[in-house]
Amino acid sequence: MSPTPSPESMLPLLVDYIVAWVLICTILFLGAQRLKAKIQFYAMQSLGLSVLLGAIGLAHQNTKALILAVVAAIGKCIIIPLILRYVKRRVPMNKGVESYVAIPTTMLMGGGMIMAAHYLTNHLFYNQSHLFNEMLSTGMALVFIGMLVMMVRKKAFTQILGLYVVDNGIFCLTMATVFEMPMIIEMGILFELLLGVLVMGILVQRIHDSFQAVTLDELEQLKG
Amino acid sequence: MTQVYEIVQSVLFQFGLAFALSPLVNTALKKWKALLQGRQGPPYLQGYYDLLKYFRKETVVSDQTSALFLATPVINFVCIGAVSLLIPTFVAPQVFAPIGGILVMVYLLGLARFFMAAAALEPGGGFCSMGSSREMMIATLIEPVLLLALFTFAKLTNTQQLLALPSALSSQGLFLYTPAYALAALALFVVSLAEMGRVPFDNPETHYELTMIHEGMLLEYSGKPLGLMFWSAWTKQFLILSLLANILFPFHMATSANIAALALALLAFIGKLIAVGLIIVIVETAIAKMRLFRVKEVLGASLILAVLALIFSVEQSGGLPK
Repeated sequence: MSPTPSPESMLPLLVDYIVAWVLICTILFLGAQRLKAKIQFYAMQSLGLSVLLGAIGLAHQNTKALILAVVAAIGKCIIIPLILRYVKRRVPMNKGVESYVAIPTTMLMGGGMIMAAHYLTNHLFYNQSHLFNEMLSTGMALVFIGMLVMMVRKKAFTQILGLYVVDNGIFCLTMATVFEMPMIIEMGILFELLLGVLVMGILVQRIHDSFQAVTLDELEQLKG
Repeated sequence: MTQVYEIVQSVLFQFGLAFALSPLVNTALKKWKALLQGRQGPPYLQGYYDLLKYFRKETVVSDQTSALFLATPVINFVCIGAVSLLIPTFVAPQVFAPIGGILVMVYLLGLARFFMAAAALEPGGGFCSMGSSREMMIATLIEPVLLLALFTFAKLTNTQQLLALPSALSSQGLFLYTPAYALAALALFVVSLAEMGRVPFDNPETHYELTMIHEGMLLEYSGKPLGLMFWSAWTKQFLILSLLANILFPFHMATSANIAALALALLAFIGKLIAVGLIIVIVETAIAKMRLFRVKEVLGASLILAVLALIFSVEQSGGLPK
């Protein structure tokens, strides 16, 4: 009576679902009120992207993509969120999100950017496959939204999170072209390392700040 | 002549079904919620008893009001009645298909809401005015989401008729469950909760002044007009519930007029209503009512979900026209 999905039609459908998941996570990331929730949504978004890469790797029987998917999943969903949470706990700061633009407005702007990205890819690459278009537009949307976050949020911590979203966008963009130019993957990993260094830089700086404070406290106690 | 007969029959049927079942459905939601929270809850027929009580009571009207105040319950009733002709229940009488676009439904609801809010300003009570201002604030957020979500389904099925939606959706079989559909269904669910005035947005069970929206607007009504207002509010809830049920589970609609098909469709419809009702009751028990100024964030998020759904549905049907 009703048509059932065939295996060939499953990959585009799966990709659609994962892309929808990634975009929802991005919107929730924009809407989150607290840093902890923001980090979680970032991790969920990265998980979606890794699963996407894994699924495409499986479909094309590409070992390199599979390995990269596992590396990305471990790096982006476990290590980076852990480091971020560590930084958040170590650095004395307000755990809320401060923004130059109201949060619902940012969400609406994010929605607009997703639309713009889809419109652009549909008009620039209209001969390509559905898969390519889908991932290219998602990557573009993530880059836009990451930049938006970097612009409108006040704190350095949130700006770094925005940078991570941009990185996820680039990850998604490389995925759209992963089977043609493997060099870009290496560049992606390099960019990842760069970000890691950035995080560590902030970490060291902040710990330096707090360390002085801590010693001052101790000195006071000793005097008293 | 036969066509006129058919139209009259369908009008009476759709109208009658919606208005007859809505008190029961409303009470059932209350009862299940109570049971889930370890209370006993009202008996299932309480809605009908309440209506009987309201219709027996005397009507008291403030002398500061104009004719609009007493006309509004009737206008409301008629608007909701007209909407009931456009919403598929377990049958979808195609005689109304030519008038039944998505826009007609949304704007009939908007018309009813406008008159309700305007009439609540009439007696000049503080809580009434507050209720109507809140209602209009939420309405401005609801309408775009409702329209965009329904447009997504229209795009997916190539039909603008609400009555044709379930059969067009179910003809796609399991291919129905695409991301566009899922996102639009989620947005529609959130916005339905807001439209029905249920918990995260409004609490249907309390008369606490600071939180009420819909109840606030009814504060100056009494007797028969109050009964009519309640009845149309419940019927609106029933209609949105059955629209939601038929979009979430579009299968097993009656397509032919034979008794077996109708009975199966009726059973399926009851099952769908119970399923959607249970989801709503569980959601209501799990979440607390939201602060009024957080409502815009939630509805804004569901607006973006609806926009995403529309994008995906456009992608799915082969991209934008070039």
